Amino acid sequence: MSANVLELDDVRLALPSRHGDRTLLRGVSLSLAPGEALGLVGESGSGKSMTLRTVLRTEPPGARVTGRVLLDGEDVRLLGAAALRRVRAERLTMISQNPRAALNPVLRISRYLVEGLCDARGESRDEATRRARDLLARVGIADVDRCMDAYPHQLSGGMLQRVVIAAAMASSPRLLLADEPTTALDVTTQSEVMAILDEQRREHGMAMLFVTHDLELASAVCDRIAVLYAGEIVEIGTPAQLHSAPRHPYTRLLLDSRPSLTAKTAALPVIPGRPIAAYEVEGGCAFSGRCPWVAPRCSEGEVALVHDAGRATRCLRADELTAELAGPAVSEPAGEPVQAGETEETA
Amino acid sequence: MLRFIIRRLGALAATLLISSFLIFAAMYAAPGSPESFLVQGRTVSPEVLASIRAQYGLDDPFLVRYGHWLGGVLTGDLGESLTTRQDVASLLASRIPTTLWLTAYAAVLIVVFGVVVGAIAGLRGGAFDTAVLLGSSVGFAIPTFFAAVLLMSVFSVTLGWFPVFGSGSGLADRMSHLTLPAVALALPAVAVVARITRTAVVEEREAEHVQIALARGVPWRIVARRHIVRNAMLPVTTIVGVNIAALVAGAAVVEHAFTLDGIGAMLINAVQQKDFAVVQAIALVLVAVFGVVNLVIDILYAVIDPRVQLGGESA
Repeated sequence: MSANVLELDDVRLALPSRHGDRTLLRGVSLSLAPGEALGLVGESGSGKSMTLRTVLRTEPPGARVTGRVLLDGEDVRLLGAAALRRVRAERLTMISQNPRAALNPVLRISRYLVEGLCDARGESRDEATRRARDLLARVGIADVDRCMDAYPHQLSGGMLQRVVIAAAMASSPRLLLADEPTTALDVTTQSEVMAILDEQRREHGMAMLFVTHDLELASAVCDRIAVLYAGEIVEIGTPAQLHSAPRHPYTRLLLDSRPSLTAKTAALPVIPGRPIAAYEVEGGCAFSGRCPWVAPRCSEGEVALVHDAGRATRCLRADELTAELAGPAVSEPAGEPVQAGETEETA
Repeated sequence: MLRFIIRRLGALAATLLISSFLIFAAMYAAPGSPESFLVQGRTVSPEVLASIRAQYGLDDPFLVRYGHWLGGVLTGDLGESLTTRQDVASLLASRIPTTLWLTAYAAVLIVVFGVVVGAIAGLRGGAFDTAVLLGSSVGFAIPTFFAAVLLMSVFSVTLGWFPVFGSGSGLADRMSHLTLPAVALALPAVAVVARITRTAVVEEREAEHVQIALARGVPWRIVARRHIVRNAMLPVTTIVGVNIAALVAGAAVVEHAFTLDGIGAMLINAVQQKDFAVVQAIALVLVAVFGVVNLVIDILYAVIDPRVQLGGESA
């Protein structure tokens, strides 16, 4: 286990507010092998971005974090300021949602790229400039000179996100933290940027923690996906496992609420009720309030994440529901013909 | 850039023309007449009065008088002082250096203390920040004339560090003479600028690109300078500019209080004596200073923020 790039062990986070502490993470545990891509999927407020921020230690000021965040076996939560800065400069990198907000609007692109190498890592300015130009060429920017001299407002969102990706690759870090890197881009550039990101990541052999609300996108680029609900992981599995045989009702409903490409439906199925925040959970399964398969015992106590052959599920009824959750959509009883027994597990 | 400056100078000329008319009209409409000041309450025969009015052209129609005056101004002839019979242009020329030194000194104080103190307060927070917030409230609340009297009584009369009046000659002597007046003049502006700078810095600290620069491992020192303070300078430049432009007008009070021979004190005297030509000339100088300072600020803006395009709409 110590060979993992990243290990989160029962990470909890609470933000102080006027009404007492608000819990945002209720014990997140996960691990990432070298070069592996793990998707963190969930609705807004499920804690996926906050999980990522505990790794980089950029959580909101005043937040109380417990648990361990091990990067190559070293707990980043315990690092001093100087050591933390070195870890951020050399072993971690982050790509955020909106590249336009990520770059200082009054400085040239070259300054942004060079500063990450030169000021953060202590490389010489000439060497950093040479590397920066090289990196831009590798993320598919045709006119490197123009790009280096441009200010952020002169480039498109897609171009800017390429610049950010180039900067992220600069230090060949062990772990890439991507927080919805394509959400702010328009659809046509999304796939382009995602392809570049994936290619660069594989080339540099980086592990990636990929936060998104888009289950499809996560399935396309990740080796494993962790589904978050109300500040805790409810299911972890490979994209194939989750798609063909979800074991947690929430995963199943998430899959059902995607629009289908082939069949036109009058109304998209939605998950009943509203997503609850982590601090609203009152004992028992957090999803019990919205779960169509809820049983009386679901609200009786904390439900543990049960690991089983590389997957993990946090549901008391996971075993009894296996067939039902893998079956046809529950919200469309008279829709498509029933395809029973679609439970094969793809390795 | 050059085209922008030329266009702005043209606009400044138009502004000066319009304000010259307003200034002239305002003096014309003001109660009291210059000849009554010239005769100083003595009873004079109507003939004498008529000759005085003829000499100064006071009987001509308004527009004729304005045109006459404007023609003179354009050729560098600002007219003749009613009280001293001296050429207004040379009077101004002898008075301007003092005001220039005073306002330049105050401007340096504003930039150094206002911006630096505000930036440190914003970056460090804590007790220093609280002290700056309190101090700026006090500084802003103290009227300039009161500050002048207070400074004189403490530093000149009690401690004897600085001279009480006069503007001195030579650099060191000037500095020593102008220190207290410059402090009194700069005080409210320093307070405002410090506060605006602090707020801008605090706001900029929260910016996403600042957080990301830190998360990339860029040292705090560099982030503070390159990303926080530099970006915070955008709003600060505007405030500093407006306050420096206003110094020339504010100089009147301070020059009067410290009996300095600048154009501010000259303006007060000229208004009291209804010395048309002098008041008009000084008012024009004030408008010109505002215009030039604003032009400099706009150019600075473009230097600081590449998104501002001179001569066009901002991107």
